Amino acid sequence: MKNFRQFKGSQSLEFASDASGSGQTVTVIFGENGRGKTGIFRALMFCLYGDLRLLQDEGAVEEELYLINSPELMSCSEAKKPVEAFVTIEFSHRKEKYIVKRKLLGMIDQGERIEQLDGVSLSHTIEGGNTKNYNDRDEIKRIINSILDESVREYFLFDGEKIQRLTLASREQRKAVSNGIKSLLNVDALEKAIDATKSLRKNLNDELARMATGEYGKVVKRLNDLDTRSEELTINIKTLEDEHEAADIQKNKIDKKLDEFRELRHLLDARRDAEQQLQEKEDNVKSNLLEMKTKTGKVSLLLLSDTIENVFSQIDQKIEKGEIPSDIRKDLIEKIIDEQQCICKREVIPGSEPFKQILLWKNKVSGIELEKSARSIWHILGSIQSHKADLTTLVETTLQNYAVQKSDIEMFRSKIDQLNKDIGSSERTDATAFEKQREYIEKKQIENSSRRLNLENELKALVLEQGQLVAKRKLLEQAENIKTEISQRALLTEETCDALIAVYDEFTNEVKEEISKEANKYFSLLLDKEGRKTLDRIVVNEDYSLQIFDKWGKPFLANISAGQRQIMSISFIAALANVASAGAILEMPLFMDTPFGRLSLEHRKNLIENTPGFCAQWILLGTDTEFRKQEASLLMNTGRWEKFYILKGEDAGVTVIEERAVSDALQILEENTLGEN
Amino acid sequence: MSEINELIREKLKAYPADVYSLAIKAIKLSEQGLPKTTIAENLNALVRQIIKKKES
Repeated sequence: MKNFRQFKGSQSLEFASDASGSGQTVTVIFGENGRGKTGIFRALMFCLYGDLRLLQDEGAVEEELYLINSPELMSCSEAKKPVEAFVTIEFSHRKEKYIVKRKLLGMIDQGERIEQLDGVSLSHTIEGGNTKNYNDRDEIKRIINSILDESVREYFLFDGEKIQRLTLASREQRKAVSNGIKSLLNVDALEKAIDATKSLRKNLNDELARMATGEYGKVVKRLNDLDTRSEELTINIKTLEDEHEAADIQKNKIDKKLDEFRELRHLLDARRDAEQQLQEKEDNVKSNLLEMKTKTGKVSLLLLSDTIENVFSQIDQKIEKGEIPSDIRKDLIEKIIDEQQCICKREVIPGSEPFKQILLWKNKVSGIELEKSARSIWHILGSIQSHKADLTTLVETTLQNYAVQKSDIEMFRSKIDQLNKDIGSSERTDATAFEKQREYIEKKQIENSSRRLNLENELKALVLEQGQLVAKRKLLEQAENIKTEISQRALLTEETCDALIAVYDEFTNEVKEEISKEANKYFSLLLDKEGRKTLDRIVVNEDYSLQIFDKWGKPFLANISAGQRQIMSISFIAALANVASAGAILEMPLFMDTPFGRLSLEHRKNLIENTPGFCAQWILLGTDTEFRKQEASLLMNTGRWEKFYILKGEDAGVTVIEERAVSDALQILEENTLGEN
Repeated sequence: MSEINELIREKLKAYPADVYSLAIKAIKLSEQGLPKTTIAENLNALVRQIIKKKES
């Protein structure tokens, strides 16, 4: 490397390999965080594939990802000199030598940092000694991909944190793994060959259909139609499968949201209850008010209760005194006065004492109408008086109820306010909308499945008919001696297509079984005692996704720990490489950046002891927290550890690679620990 | 990855020679990264050759 990342100036590393037959194939690169371990990994990715970023850079701003050493750039910027940076990798593959060099040029121009690619070259020396040089980027990409396809590079050159992605079940991951594996095993070439042959078959059948006549012509035309329909059905089925998977992803996202809601469920339920009760109270209050309105007329009499009592008493007193009704009717008294004659026929002389008495009576007595009214009023007031207590109680009760309801309403409002605060933003409260959306998606998935089933059944029937018609066509060709050039070409292409498909099916099934078998072999070596109690076997699925089964035959992938997932991934990679190289040891290096982070001690021990046995080179990048004396000791005991590099921080933004003897490793690690303390 | 091709090659040997030739050609052309239509055209040419050879 030159001026690449922290590595100012020219610096190099040589990874341990078995070139001398020593069997020592392990390299350890040791350094604290920020010293450039990932920088070495980044250099590999950059040089081989032109990667400007790694998976872990997801989310980082493009312009802030620097590849050229900053201090060098700064020092050259004053002299307005551009800085040259590059990474060169020398490697061998199947006894042929390759040197890849990828360059960068950088400078600071008016305060702006500029980095640009400055070309790539590849030198390829074959066994005889002849060398060919390449400068075309695409050609170099093709060559590198033929050695280690970029879609699977993560699996042999990986970050311990990210390796578990291999075992994640998301659609994108499965597709990526599937494509990578197919590429590694060259199955993708076989698939492409099948596609091309099918395409040729279709063209030839079209041509034949145009020329053929009679029964034979009908059969050929029908086969053609079936071919076209078969393609349509395959595409439609695939589309429905993709839609189904996309719907699953949607549902997972919704389920994650709903999980959040479940945490809030009790609060949401409490709020709903409170709102319900609030509504009931408000309805009750409305009823109360209505009731009060209807009784206002009656109840308002209570406001006049004193007056009513007074009037009633006065009338009552008059009644008691006999003034109402009067003992003598007024009209009779007036008659006596007018006639000046009493009812006993005695003369009543005006001014006499009897006459004065009679006048007094006249004043006292009321008229008949007035007496009737007074009597009536007395009755009414009496009735009112008798109901006064009830009315009073009614008013008191109604008002009390009203007050209680109002108080409850305030209480519920206050409670709802508090719940709203606890629940948080309105975005998180719309669980109902998500649930509805999920229901809709599920409904669509059911419809989708039904449609897919129909299409698959149609395709099955079609394939059956195709088989029958192909046989019929052959018979007709024999019977009618049809040997036109075109029919022979079509027949040969048909047979080749069938052969490729049969071989493909057989091969992929065998490969998957082989990968499963090998993966389980490594898995049993790497897995710790605890894991072996529960986990039984790894299986490679139809779509190349991975599944692990427990001792009871149940799928268990979702339940394994991150460390176990990592072990599973490593086992799979080892198996893949083993099968890809047809039993020979994995030729590509296994490059692991901080692999021990998630692993228990037993897993680490198993990994250290077994990994050198199934890869040609093992390069470990470790920090002081995960590559300690314990790990170093274990590695030393394998006898496979040849190279030891320490990344030392020299100045700000500058790391120096120091090679140290493996035999000094324990002491260096001890000093490192003491230094911390 | 010639080891993998060897496995496929071995399986294809079970088929008639013409089928074997055409199938192997199809795989080789695919490995070269050519587009599907180009591969189909090349195969068509090979098929013609094979049939012509048979007839003669």
